[in-house]
Amino acid sequence: MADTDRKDRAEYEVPLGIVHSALLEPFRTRLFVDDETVVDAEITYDSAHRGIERIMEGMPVQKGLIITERICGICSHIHLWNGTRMVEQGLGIEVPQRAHHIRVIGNELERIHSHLLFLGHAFEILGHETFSMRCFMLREPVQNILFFLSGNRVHYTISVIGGIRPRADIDKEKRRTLLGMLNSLEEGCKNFANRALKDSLIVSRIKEIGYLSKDDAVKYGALGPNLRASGVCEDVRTRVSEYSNFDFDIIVYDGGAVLDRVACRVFEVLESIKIIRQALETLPDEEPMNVDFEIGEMGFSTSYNEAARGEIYDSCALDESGRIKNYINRTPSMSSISAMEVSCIGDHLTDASLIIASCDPCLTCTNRITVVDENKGREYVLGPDEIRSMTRRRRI
Amino acid sequence: MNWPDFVLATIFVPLIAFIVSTWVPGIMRKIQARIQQRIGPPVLMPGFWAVLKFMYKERIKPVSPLPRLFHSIPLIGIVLMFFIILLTNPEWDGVLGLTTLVALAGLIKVEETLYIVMGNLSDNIMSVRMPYPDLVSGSVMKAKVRRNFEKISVTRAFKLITVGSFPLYLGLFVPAVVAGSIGIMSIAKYQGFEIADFTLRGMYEMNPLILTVPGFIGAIAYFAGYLVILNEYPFSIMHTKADVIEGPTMEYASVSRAGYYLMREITMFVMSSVFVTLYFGIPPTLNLAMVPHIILAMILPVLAAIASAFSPVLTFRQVYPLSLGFSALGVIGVIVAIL
Amino acid sequence: MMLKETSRKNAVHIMLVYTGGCNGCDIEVVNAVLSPFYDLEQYKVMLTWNPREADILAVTGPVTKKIAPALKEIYDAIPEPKLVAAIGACATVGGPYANLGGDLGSSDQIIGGVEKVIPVDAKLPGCPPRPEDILQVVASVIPLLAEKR
Repeated sequence: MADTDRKDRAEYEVPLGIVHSALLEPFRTRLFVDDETVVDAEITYDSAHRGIERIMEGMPVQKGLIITERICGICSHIHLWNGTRMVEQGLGIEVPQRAHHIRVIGNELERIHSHLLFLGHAFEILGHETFSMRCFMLREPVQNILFFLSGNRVHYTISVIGGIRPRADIDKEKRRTLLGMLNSLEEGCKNFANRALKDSLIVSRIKEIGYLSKDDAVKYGALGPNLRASGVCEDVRTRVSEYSNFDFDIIVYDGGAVLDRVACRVFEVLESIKIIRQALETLPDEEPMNVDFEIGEMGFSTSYNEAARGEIYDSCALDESGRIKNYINRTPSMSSISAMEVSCIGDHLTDASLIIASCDPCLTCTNRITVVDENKGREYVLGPDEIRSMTRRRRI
Repeated sequence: MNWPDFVLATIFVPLIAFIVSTWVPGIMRKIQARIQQRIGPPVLMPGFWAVLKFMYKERIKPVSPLPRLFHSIPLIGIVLMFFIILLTNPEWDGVLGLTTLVALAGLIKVEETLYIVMGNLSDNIMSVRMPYPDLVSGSVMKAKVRRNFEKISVTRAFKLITVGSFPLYLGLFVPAVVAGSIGIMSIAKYQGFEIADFTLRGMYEMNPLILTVPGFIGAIAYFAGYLVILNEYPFSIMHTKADVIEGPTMEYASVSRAGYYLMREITMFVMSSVFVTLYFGIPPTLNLAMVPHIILAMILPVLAAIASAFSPVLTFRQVYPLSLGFSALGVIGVIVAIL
Repeated sequence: MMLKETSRKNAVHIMLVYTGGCNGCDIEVVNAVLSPFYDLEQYKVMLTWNPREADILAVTGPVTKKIAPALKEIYDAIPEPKLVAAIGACATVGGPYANLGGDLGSSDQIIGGVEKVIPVDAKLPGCPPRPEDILQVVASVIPLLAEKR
């Protein structure tokens, strides 16, 4: 038939979602399939759009920043930290070094639990329930550490403008307990990494699938571990002043396959433990909160930081009474989506959800770029080109 | 033929299989849970209480072009399995000339094809019918049809039938080659089984096939085929949660879901029971032999639980070579048996 | 009848629908069900992803307008007896998206709590609720399931 020869025709289409066992979050994945081989994928991700940036419009900044934490239940600390960091930079507020240390500890703990959650989830999609359970078992102590540190398991609210919330301060007693917890966590992670990455069945299943080349990773705007697993050495933490005191390695893998993305995250967990240990050992003995500031008018201020999934960007201005104007928050998953779509092309249908999951989708933060064009009276979602033009120009 | 024994066996052997099989999924689940370092559900829960619970649920009309046929498929599967276990019963030996491995293989094949019928008759809410406006957003790629999960599972079931379950059939026929007969009872008798004077002490003097070289190789091939036929991990590509959630059985609700659960657990037990008959030479009969038979029949489910706890779901990229490998193993078993 | 109630108490299937919250409650629920640390299966509750198999529908997150039809369809697909547990502040009342707001008021992207779409039997507030509380709410709705017709 004439139209079957065309390249943009697939044999059949499989819609996954918006409620699905593998891709838990509400997004629709349309897979275009030729004889169980994915030829194209499309991810539609506007279903969890809640209008956070819009609610924050006109809120007092202290109150509004707490809402940023509710953008995501996995990487909640980094949203709040980056928001406060942005306001502090814009208003020139001094922050004590001790607060910086504790914020870094919060961020790294969050990275550990996010990566372990990713691993648990990936193994579950792989059908390997036992390893998934072991990941969740490893993750539970991290949640306990966060609970112990701040009083909540998910939304811990560590940073406030000028420092940290007093409950999240680390005294001597807490520090000793935390160091002890870290030791057992590190041992568990190392054992697991040894076991999982040497299991021949698992490795045969995840190697050589979901290939994302270096060029594609840059072209489609993959960020964070997805970019590093494709061989690009890029980590915003190297440019964030709070991290300048700490010594850590950037894990880079050249393969670009699912195996590399998994391995990259496994070893980042160990790096994060290293950072936390350094931060705890060099914790300065001073007041963690600077209350000597006034919130007033602020021009547009921006801040970049490295979340668990990559670069995060916040920007807003304040009016004269300290209310938020035009809050913009760009999260890493938004940028990585096109990379997810590209990397599952050419693989088996059953692998597709694994590949998407291996790019660590966390789309709660992402569902915010439906553009309403009032002149034309239509709604549309930004395509990969537009997203790319929004991402920062990056040197390779 | 002894008529009273024949009638008693026809009634009670399937009944015993039915009762024992309600424990099998629970035992498997418990073993997996213990491997995963957790307590796990009570042993009777997944196989017995869940079935009873589904019996008491509201009966709803499935979204299916032929609801009655769709509902009756689990029943067909259960009856098939009853037939299979009866064919391996000594009392049935010689009935209609059916008690051969050929009949057994045919019935297992029918059991496999049930999934194809099942999947083609079902359309669950979780796939294409999920209301979501995604067609309007317009992708570059176009496809002729939107295929639901059940239809994809059907294709996979078909592939598994043609390639995946090959080791099972080779495993079935290795004993026949060794014993020189396709009659099930001749195979059991070859291993030293006598229905009239079976004693537990006498078991030590039997020569079970699994302890010979071709028997052991054949048993491995049979085990791989057992995993395939149960769609257990790692061969659960038809039921994988990664894309098709539950595959062809998604639309079963209430009573018919109870039927599906029963069909699955009876398949687990009966296929294992066939293994015991062929490789240990102890068929299911209504005398003392039933006790070691049931105990030995738990070996395959336990092994399957352990194997599935330590393996990911395999795609066809791995299933084909694996299945071919196990088939080759089965062929080697046959060759060794001939030599 | 005794057998009916016993069987319903002894085997419960729970399904999770996640309607667009922040992932927090979602992960806590899946965690409670999945992780060996809390292990919901020892309380005779199994996780399923098939509405035809489910008894309890756990909903997390505020119901956004895009997801509401799907949620309703999934609820309709569950055969009786069924229960709905709304887990987390967003699922109970809509959370910060419904009752907080600056100049522009509350969010117009969400419908609100789950009860505006489907009837709810149990509500568990918290942002997010702790796994212990989730275990407790699931354990406490199981008797309700047995009492139904």
